Parts: sequence; structure tokens; C-alpha cells
Amino acid sequence: METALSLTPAIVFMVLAQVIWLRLPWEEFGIVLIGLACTVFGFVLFIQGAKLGLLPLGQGIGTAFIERGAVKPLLVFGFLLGIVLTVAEPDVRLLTFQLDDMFGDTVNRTALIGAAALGLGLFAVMALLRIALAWPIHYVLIPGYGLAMVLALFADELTVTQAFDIGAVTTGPMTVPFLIALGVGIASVLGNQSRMRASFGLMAIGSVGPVLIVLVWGLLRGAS
Amino acid sequence: MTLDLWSTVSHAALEVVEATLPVLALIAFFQFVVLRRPVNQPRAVVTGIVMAMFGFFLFIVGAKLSLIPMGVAIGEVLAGAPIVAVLGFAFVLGAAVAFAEPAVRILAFEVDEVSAGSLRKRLISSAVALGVGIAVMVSVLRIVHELPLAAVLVPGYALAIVLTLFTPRDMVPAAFDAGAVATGPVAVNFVLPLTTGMAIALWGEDVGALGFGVVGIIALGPIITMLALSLSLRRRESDD
Repeated sequence: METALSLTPAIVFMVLAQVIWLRLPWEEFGIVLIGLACTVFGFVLFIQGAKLGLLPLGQGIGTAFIERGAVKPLLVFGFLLGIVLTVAEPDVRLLTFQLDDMFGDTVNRTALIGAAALGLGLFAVMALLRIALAWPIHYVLIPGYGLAMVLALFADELTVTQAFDIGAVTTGPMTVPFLIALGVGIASVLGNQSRMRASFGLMAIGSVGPVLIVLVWGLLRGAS
Repeated sequence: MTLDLWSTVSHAALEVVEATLPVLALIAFFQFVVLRRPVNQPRAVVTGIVMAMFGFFLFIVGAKLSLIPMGVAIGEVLAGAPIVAVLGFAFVLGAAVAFAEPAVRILAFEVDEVSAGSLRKRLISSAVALGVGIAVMVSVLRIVHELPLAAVLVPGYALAIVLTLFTPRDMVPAAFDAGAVATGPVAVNFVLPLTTGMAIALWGEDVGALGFGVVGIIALGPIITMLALSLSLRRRESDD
């Protein structure tokens, strides 16, 4: 139920705006209210369903590899999971929908989601390796964001916008619980870090990957 | 607001199938082909998957019917308002979004624990809210002055990197996580349509990317305020 709370500011502002400025006719605002009910109910159902059905399976697979000390298969699983979770992230869908709506054919929605997914997959592996090898997070974040800054200076405006917007949303309600479960699993097996410290930084690293890959993809496309 | 309800619904249904099939296929492959073992509590798993898919569908349809068009409509109204009022609104909206986000509260709780209480939950949530509020204000200013996104993000991340070098090591991961945590469904489906609606009302359809980028800026704001907070606390400790 907690999850639905995040929508309250949007709901409050919408109702205030309707009462004060917009004054849409009732049949139109009625549709908005129905849509709002769908949004809240759908969001809660989605989170609860993923917790009940998908997360235990993903965790079970991760644990099975960790128990066998099979680090390589675990990293492969983390990489592929990062890709498919980005594809399944609702906010990624809705962000690319809005981009598509605005720019039409100038934005290739499938390729954008693919690039972001590849970025998250690669950096999920990086995040898991960081925990396994106990690297300080600076080693990943400073070069990662440093490179992103440099690339942002050379990429075109639309690419920069897409890269940073999508980078921020790939780490959403679908991806984060899985990443944390895998990260904490690795940390607990290796025993070199506290649970909590291992889970910190996973989202930050996960966000850099899509930013970098989308920027590189945009630059390559511009150059060809 | 003319909507083709049927096309919204059918597109959303397709979208959900397209989005969830790869995850289901990957998990099934590892479960049955690689590990070769049965699923524990198959009924719960199937129920959960059906719930998640139906919820996903409702969420997408709902956002397209309510949050997104209303965000655009509010943005259009804001385009005609005095800039000071718009900036005030932007700050309040951003801060409210951050305070309401459960993920921000979870992060605040965890940082409180790791820092052994030297950073109180309330203080952390406030730092994140301040960061998001400023970020939305900066996004509005970017639209009004037609600045490229890199003009905001490059100096912003440069500042974040410099602060990182001086911030106590333990606090860095949490500070960077704060950025990812603050960009939830409201940022994407309400704040973003609001800024695009405002950009279009101000500059017309061809402004292109100007209204976008707000999500990326929201991800940066809390990183800077969180780093600044941990830095200022360390200063105070070393002064004692």
C-alpha cells in the first residue's frame, strides 16, 4: 500500500489545478479520475505481484549459483536479468512513449530501450563485481560520470536528453529489488561487507550504464 | 483531450506482453533448463505474475488517461504564469514528490542506520527533497532560457565529482543512490509531461527536447545536496 503514497503529490496537484485553473467539463475530468484510480490500483498490483511471483524466483536462481560458488554463471544471469528487467520497467515504457509521442520517427523506441537495457546489464555486472572484489564505489562512479560528462559535450541535444532521462528511470520498482537481492546475496557469501553497505550504490552504478551506452549509441549514429 | 480509448487499451495490452515476456522467458530458462528444478509454491508464482501483468496494464492505461494529459494541461497553464510563481510551484512540487516517495524514506532509514544516527532520517529526506525541488526549478529556468541540457548537467556532475573527493567514503554510495531513488513514477508521468507542456506552450511544437531532461536533472539534484550535507556534517565534527 505504501507504494501508492508516492502518487499523492501528483493527485493533490491535479485536483487543485482542476478546481482552481483548468475547470475541465465533468465528463473529461471523470475520465481523468477513472484513469487515476487505474494508475494507483495498477501500481500497487504490479509491485505486489512482482514481489509475490517474480522476485522469489529470481532470488532462488541467484542463491542457487551463490551456494555452488558459481560466480561466472551468476554474472551471466545478472547481465541478462539487467537487460530483461529494463525492458520490463514501467517507467522506461512510459518515458519512451512520451518521447515517441513528441518526436515520432526521429526517436527509435525499440533501439533506445535496447541500448538502455544493454547499459543496465553491463553495469549490473560491474556492480556485482564491485561487491565481490570490494572495490570502493569511486572507482566506478567517478570514471563513469566523468566519461558521461565528456560524451554529453559532444552528443546532440536529443541524445543527451534521452540518455540522462532514461538513465534515471531504468533503476525503478522492477529492477531495484532484484539488483539488491543479488548484491546482498554475493556480499553475504563472501562475508567481506555488511548487508547494507553492499546494497548501497547498486542503483547509482545501474544508472550510469544506460546513460553511457545511449550517449555512445547516439554519437555513433551521428557519426555514420 | 480527444482520446481513442480502444487504441490506448489495445496498445497497453501489447506493451505489457512485449515488456514481460523476456523476463518470464529468462527466468523460466534458468529455472528449468539450467538449474532443472521445479518451482516452489507454483500457485503463488502464477498468481503473482498475473497480478503484476494486470497491474502493469492498468498502470500504463491509467497514466496515459490521467497523469500525463493532466501534467501537460497544468504545464500549459504555468506557461502563462509569472516566473516567480512558476519557480515557487516547481520547488513545492519537486519537494512534495520526494517526501512522498517511499524509496526515499527507505534510503533515509538505511543511511540513518549506517551513519550510526549521526545523520537523522528527517535530515536526509529533507536534503533529498531540497535537491529535487531545486532540480525542478532549474528545469523550469532551463526551459525559459532555452539552455541545452549539457549546460546544466556537465557543471552539475562536475560539482558532484569534486564534492565526492571530499565526502566521507561511507556516505558516497548512499548520496548517489539518492538520485536514482527520487526519479519514480511521478517524476516520469507527471513532472515530465508538465515541463513538456510548459515548453510547448512557451516556444511551440518545434522546441523538441527542451521539455525533456527534467528526469535527468531530478536524478542529479539530490546527489549534490546529499554530498553537501555529509560534507558539512564532517566539517562540524572536525571543528568540535
